[in-house]
Amino acid sequence: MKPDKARELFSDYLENSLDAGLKQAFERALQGDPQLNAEYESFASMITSFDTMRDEEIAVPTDLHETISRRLDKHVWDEKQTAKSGGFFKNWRMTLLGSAAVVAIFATVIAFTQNGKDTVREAGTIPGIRKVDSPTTADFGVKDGQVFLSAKSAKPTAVEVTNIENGEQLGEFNVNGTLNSPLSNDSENAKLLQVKFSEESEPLLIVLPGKTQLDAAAGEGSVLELAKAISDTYRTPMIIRLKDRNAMVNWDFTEVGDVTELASYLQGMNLSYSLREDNLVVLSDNN
Amino acid sequence: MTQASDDQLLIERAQEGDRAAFDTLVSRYEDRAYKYAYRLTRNQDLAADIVADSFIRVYRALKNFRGQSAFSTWLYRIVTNCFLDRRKRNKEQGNVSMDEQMEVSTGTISRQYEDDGPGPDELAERNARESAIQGALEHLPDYQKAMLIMYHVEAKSYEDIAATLDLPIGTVKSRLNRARVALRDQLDSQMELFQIG
Repeated sequence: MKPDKARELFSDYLENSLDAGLKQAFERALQGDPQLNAEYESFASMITSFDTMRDEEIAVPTDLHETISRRLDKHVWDEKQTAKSGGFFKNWRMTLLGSAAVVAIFATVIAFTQNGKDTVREAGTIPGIRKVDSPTTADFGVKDGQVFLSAKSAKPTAVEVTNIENGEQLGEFNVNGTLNSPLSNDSENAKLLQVKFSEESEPLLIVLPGKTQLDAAAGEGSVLELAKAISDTYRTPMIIRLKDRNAMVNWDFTEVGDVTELASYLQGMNLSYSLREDNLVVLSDNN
Repeated sequence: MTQASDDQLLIERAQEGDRAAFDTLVSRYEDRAYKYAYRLTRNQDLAADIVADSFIRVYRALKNFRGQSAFSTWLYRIVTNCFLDRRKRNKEQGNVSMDEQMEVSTGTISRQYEDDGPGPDELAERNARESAIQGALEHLPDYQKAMLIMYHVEAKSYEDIAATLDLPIGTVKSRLNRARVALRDQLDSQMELFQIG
């Protein structure tokens, strides 16, 4: 066995994980090469020294529990304040394009236009529009980098928009004709938005990136938190079509490059990351 | 009642909103989490900060915890991720390197041994070795550093590390091997410290 090959096996030999043949060859190499033997002894000594570091006595700060409790209290309080003040509304850009009556309800969350009354703005081609529950169809779309919620309904249909993370209702309105509403997120972090039509059972879900590219490339949490992490990291809006939103996952795409690599990475997590014709990404279960 | 079943009861109560139960979990695991965080960062303030962040993440995600792994394993995973996130954020923001804040002086380490331990010469050698290892660890990728500390210092088994990092055991073994080789390479110029005799 050559010295370089033997050096590669230092760790395995120390762990006693070499098979009998390789172990014998390794030991013969050590016996026949005093320099190599000295190197191995130093390596083993290094590992032993490392192991003794577990004896290190580390003093835990006396106020650690208080520090944690204080931070937790603040977190809980912040959450409550956000829920109370409707802080999420403040994070959404107001884009007035449509009916004044509806804007009054929906002001700072999203804006839209409705056919047959005031301003009409065409949705343009939004591929992949899907039937929700006749006669209403609804989907998200993107045009010139702007995400839209589009819906068509032949009869008045109630639509409810919710921040899925805290359950806060952001608005409720009726669609009667065509809805074409730009969606944007002016907060720092990605946000998860749920759109539910009263006539349908399955809500539409989308994650919109915040203003800032955040480092969320490694973490753990639910698949929805993963979706936010992707949106934060890759700055992409994403339609979510997942059966089990609470499934817990770990992710680390620190070494994942572009979205093509990301798609492969997610494939390994049994998730599908696909690009539609309109360049809107869909995250779904891999089946 | 075993620790695991006792934990499970506390977790269930905490999942139902019982803050006192959650505080008991914190009390039970905060020291262990802090020591691990300190070994990763060698900085008291940063370690305390990472542990506090970790427990907030636990609090937020607890409703989704289904006991697939032991609570301690889950907590280790969260502390590791908090550490990795912090390191990455610091690097991106060009913050002061944690290397400069490391508390690795031999003075600090020399206080860590009991009186009936090794003699002064041996202790000095041991301190020098440990300081060299601490220094070398700082030059390894954070993930390798975390794995080495979990295995060699925290005495976690391959199985525990695999569960913590959600990796197959074979991957953990091969990555640990690579990490040890990388550590040895980092210490190449100081290997005389580890020579026998």
